[in-house]
Amino acid sequence: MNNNFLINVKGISKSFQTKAGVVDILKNVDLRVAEKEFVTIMGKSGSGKSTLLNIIAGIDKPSVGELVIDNSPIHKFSESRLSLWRGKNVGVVFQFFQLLPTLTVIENIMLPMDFCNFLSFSKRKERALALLQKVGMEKHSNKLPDTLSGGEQQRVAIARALANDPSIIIADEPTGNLDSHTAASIMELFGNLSKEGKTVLMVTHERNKIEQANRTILLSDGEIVSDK
Amino acid sequence: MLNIQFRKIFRDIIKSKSRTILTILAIAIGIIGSGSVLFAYSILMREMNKNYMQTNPASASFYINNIDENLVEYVKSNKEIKDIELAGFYTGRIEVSKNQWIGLWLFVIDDFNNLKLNKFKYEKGNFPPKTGEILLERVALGVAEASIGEERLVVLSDNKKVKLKISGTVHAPGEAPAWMEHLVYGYTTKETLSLLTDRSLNELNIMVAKDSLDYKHITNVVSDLSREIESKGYKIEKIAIPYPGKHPHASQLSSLLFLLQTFGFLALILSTILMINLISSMVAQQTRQIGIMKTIGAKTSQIVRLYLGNVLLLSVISLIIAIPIALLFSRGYSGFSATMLNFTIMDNSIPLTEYIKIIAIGIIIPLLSSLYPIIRGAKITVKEALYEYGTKTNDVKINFNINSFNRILLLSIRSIFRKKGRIILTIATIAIGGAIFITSLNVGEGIKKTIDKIKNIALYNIDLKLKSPVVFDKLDVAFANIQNVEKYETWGETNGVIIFDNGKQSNEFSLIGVAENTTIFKPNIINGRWFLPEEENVIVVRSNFFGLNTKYKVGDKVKVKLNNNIIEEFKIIGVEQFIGLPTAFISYKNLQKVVGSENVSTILKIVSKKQDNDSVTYLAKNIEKEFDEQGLIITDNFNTGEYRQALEDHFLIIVSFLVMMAFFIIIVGGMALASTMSIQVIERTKEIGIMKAIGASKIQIIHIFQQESFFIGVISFVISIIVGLPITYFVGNIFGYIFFKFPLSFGLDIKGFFIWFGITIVFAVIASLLPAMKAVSLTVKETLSYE
Repeated sequence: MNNNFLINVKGISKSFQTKAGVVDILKNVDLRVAEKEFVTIMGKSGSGKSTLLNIIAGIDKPSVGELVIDNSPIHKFSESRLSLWRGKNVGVVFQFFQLLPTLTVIENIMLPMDFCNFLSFSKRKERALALLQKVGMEKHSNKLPDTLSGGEQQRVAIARALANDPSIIIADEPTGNLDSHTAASIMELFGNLSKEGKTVLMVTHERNKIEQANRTILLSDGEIVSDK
Repeated sequence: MLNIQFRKIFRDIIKSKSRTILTILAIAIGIIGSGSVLFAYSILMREMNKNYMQTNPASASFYINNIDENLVEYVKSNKEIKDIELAGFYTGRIEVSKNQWIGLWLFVIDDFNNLKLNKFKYEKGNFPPKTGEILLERVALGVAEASIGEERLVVLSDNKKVKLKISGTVHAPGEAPAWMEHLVYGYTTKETLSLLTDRSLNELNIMVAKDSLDYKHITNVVSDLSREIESKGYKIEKIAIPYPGKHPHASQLSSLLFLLQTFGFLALILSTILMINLISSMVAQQTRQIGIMKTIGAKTSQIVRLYLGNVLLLSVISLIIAIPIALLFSRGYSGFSATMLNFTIMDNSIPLTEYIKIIAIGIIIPLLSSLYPIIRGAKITVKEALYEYGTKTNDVKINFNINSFNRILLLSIRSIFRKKGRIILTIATIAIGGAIFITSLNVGEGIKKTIDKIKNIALYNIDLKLKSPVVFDKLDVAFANIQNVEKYETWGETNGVIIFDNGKQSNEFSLIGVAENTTIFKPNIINGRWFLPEEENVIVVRSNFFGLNTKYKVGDKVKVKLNNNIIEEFKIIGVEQFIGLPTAFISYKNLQKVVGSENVSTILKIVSKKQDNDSVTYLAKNIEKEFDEQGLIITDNFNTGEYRQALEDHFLIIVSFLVMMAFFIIIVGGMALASTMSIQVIERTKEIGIMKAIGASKIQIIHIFQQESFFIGVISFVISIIVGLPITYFVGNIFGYIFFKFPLSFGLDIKGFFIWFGITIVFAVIASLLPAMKAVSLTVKETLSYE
């Protein structure tokens, strides 16, 4: 195992049993991602890019193969251990933001800290405010998510992903639901995160977003066909 | 500062107002049901016992005609006896209106101011009564249709009619309620007694020195004492040993409490199922949020704690709402039961232990019942929660021929079975509600049917007891002058006690001599058979006869001491079921032969030509007048219709209670139905979006949900009948055995079935219509991103 790489995906396959037979989503995928890399994963719909991202985030499990992140065998973790690990090590950003609707912006950011017991109770608010400032949302800290625009919600979701100071940020089409102007500012945020030392993996459809990334992987029919 | 998780709980509760209200209501129903039972039970049992024990009931009463000072002193000196009191007890009649009389139990008190045993409480008027005055028991005052200050004729078996002034009322909680016995209880002095008869005090009440609540000990003491008394030359007419510490109508109270317990328990089940349903739906609706929380680091146990916290908060709110309502119900029900059974609730406080119990029920049951849906929901993986939830189906195969069904109808039927667990809960909730509704109406119907059955057993209108045996010719003369008599039969009666193998005696029972070819008594034989006209020394016993000795069965021989001291052996050949005191039946001829016709009091069972109550009352008055003129002394003139009416009136109160329960269930069951149907629709909002996206019109979608609701309603209705019938049978049996000493007739209230069917369908369709209309008004995009 090469310790220079933060994420090691080794021979991962993922298949589903359907009534029509077995469908292979990922076929023997190998991928290594170094610390601080900004990797975009591209491919057509059904190419397996979101499945690969979910496996790396510990949201999905491979049918075959190994996933080792920061020397931990993630593919062997139980669901509860995965939750805690993910909470501490991975920040996830979704296309549809997925903020908790009954919590205010700042509470949404503080909740991961509560779950993972990150920082002392009194310092959590301070950190949440700092993160909001970082994404330019400090003025909206006491608002409920449904009072914000899509771009604003995604900024809050990014701040939440950073709550427990994870080393990896995973984003599944984070700009897919935003207009181009807002999408560009969100991509800029991700670019900044990478510069600050976060390892970013992002699934996207849009070629013009790639300029923020230093590596692009192209998936087709469950296989990596290009890695630049 | 509140913890964020608590804030989420609190805001989720506020956000889903309708579900929150329904969940609180669901928990509250269970608390109200079980709380009412627990509270009413604690009030009633305590107060009934307190009322009864305050009377200081005698351990036993000896009835002896020639009691004198020597006897009193002798009994007093017995070490086994703690207290002794001399009193008098006579049966007679009191005039209700001209020529209309009702039975009177006259209690003669030696010293009103120093009563030690079988005490009663002064209520109104002059106390103690002066010579020529009588106090009536408070309920008996109504039975006699009298008021304080009035004068009424009173007569004992000596047939000396004396006008006594009703000086006031007392409360005697130790006696069976006068309305139930259709009797008047009167209390008077020795001096007043002397105006009515030459006889004097004839009752010796005793209290044993130790083990006063041990029935066996009391019977041993009484047995020894009676032998000693008889050895001194006194003749004991009768001995009565009440069951110690138990109010004579404790069983009636048990039946009233049983009803409450049954519905309380069913309400708890309904509430629990409804709660599981609502919590499941809450967890289902929060699945995406659970997925998000797990994505940001929440463990399954943290999610479980979060939602249990939600349930706990709802439980506390429910308790705050439900406890005062349970208090109100229990106090109302206690008051109703106390009035019915003639005791006073002096203190309606609830012991702290009962509050603790109900708080425990109100918290533990919701937590336990929500544990499974919460754990199941919390265990969901992030992938399932965020990407797959709502798209998976259970592998249910319904092989309908696609060509024979409308495709939309097929979709409705298949959708019902998509989520087995949810649909089972939905149907169970509605079916339990229906089963309770049907049971309450059926039991009410069973009570009415039982009363009808009682009416059809004894087909006579007037039950007349004469003081002494009467020659038939004389009766024919008397009846020749009375109009409106369809027919009459002459029966006889004497009293007896069973002599057991160990020499001890049972309490007294009536031995009724029935006219051999009776056409106005249709005994309800439940075991064995009725006797043939020529059969001798065979008896048919009333089912409560076995209360005297449970070991007896059909075919056994019993040794009976009759009131002329003759001991005779009878074979039990059948068991008859009816209300009333322990009774055995024999042929009239056989009775006369066994005890001698001079020892048999004549009973006349009279059928009126006109059956309405006014005509029967008028007939009874005419009989009084004519018999008086003929010198025939009546000791009891009993209008069976009036008695049945009183019985029916009081049971109607119970029936009303059951109908009230039924309406309560309509509301609760309707809510259960509405909530479960709404949940069905809400959870499929995404599916609605898909249907709209592929071209379904709003009406078509609403139609699908209404068809589904209709099918669910029909399935639930069928199950509620299947479940309701055995519950009806069970409740009817238990209630009947406690109240009547035999099971209620099985009643079916068919209109109740239709009502419930209508309610189920209407509620189901409306309950699904509203959320479906709301869901179809969303855009496809909104429905697909619906949370």
